[in-house]
Amino acid sequence: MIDRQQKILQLLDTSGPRLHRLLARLTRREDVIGDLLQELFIRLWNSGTFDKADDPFAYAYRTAINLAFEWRRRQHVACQPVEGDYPPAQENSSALGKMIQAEELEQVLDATSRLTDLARDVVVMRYIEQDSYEEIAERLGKKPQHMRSVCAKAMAQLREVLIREKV
Amino acid sequence: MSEMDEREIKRRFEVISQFEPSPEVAARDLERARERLIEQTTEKQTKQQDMWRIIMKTKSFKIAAAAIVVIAVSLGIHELVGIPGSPSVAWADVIKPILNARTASLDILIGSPDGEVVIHDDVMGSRIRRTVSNLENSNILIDLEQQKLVTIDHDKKTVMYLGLDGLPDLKNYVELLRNTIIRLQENPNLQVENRGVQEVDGRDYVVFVAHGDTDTITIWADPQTALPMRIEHETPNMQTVCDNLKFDVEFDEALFSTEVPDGYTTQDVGAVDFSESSESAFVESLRIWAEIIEDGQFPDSISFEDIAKIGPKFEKGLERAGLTEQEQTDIAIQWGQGLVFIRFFKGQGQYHYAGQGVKLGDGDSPIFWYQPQDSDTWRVIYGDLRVEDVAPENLPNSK
Repeated sequence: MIDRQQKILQLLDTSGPRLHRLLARLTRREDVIGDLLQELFIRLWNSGTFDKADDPFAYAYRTAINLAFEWRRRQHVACQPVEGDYPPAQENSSALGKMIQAEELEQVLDATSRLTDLARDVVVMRYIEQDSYEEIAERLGKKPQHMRSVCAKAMAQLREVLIREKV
Repeated sequence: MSEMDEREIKRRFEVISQFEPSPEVAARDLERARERLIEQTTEKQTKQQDMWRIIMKTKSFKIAAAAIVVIAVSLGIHELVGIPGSPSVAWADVIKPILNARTASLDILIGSPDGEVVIHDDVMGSRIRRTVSNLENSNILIDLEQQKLVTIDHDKKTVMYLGLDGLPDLKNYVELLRNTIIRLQENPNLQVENRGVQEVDGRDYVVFVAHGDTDTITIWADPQTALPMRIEHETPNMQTVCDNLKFDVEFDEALFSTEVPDGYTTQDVGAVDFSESSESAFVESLRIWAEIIEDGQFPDSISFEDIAKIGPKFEKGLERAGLTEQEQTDIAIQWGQGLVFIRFFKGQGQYHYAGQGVKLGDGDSPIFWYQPQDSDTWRVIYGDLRVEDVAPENLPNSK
């Protein structure tokens, strides 16, 4: 038990900042990241499967993605723009421009949440975390070529969803 | 609006990818996560080690109170139906092999998978023959149709009956298990993830993980037969595992008999009614808790794990109150009855408890509040045990 506690605390020390940043990007709400990070590590602690995972970080990373998108599904109201450090909105840094950008980002994240788990994870790793296909493949135990194919199909689906919703 | 092509989607992702939470927020959140993890894991280790030892080894702890805790855990499979949760075609196969099963056997583990106490259930129709690894020389027979729990103590040669009134749809436990999985499958909100084949102890299993708001269910199924072999249910406070699931096992029917063996004496200790998970019963439990168990003040916690540790303190309180044996049993059942309200909580969201340090009679301190189903207002219980309807904006601050 003590060893297990140490293992999870060590994961928090080494990978906590990255998982925190991932949650921040997927929720865009600084006021909820802390709670989700706590929930993530409690989930890992309570999980029997985590102990059997070959790559604890990869397991935690996928759990964090799940957690963030579960949170998004629970949100029935529009998210407020995050108060963190986003780059200026494209070609428009006015309040209206920021609102439009915030809405655009919400739409693409919400559309991502409707992908299959695998497609969603790959898209997040590739485009939000900007991992290479080789890194993604290693983390998910798949082949890079497969990841490239999943990603291409996911992008096509995202485009369809976003066009259908007339954004 | 932007023209929607792949380039635009990538542009949006790129904006998202550039977000960095402020260092202060990150440092604060990481520290809090660390504190919570240490608190939770240390607490859980202690609680798991103590919980069943205390329930089962406190021999004189009132069977009625102990039984309700055992029952609440062992029938915890009911709680799976409450998990919000999309059907999965592959997952649907898990149910098929048990559609016609008449009997089953399973182990129930509370806490970590390597927990020290294992409850073993043999199930035949409406009867469950239960053995608990650290409760030697005793058998528990649960007759769901008769709604009775029968404890046979072979050391003392006694048979104790506890009524389990108001348990719905429990004619057949295997059917219950099956219906629970079907209801989960039919729940449109359930998100089921197929984790593929994983090896456990040299055997391959197909693993499915279903996530609810706070709960996670993991099912390990045989890749050939799709038979579920293990079901793990994790909640923020507890982990329950149904392991070594077997169906259509040949049992000797005599093992499920509730007949009193020759030379044994019987005792009927009353009943716990599971349909009466009422607020008023819970208020009565709080009164007993403060008045008898905690000697004038409300408990620090009403978590299930803490309830499980209450045995010795309850014993002392009952002695202190100078009650007769029958009165002690009645009080124990009354107190246990109120637990149904929080164990199978049916209100919206979560309830809140803030009774730590509050004395019985303190009408200014709210100790418990919850939002009933279909209600816009909340019910708040105060230290003098009066209950008021309160608008959300006037609720106490949750700790």
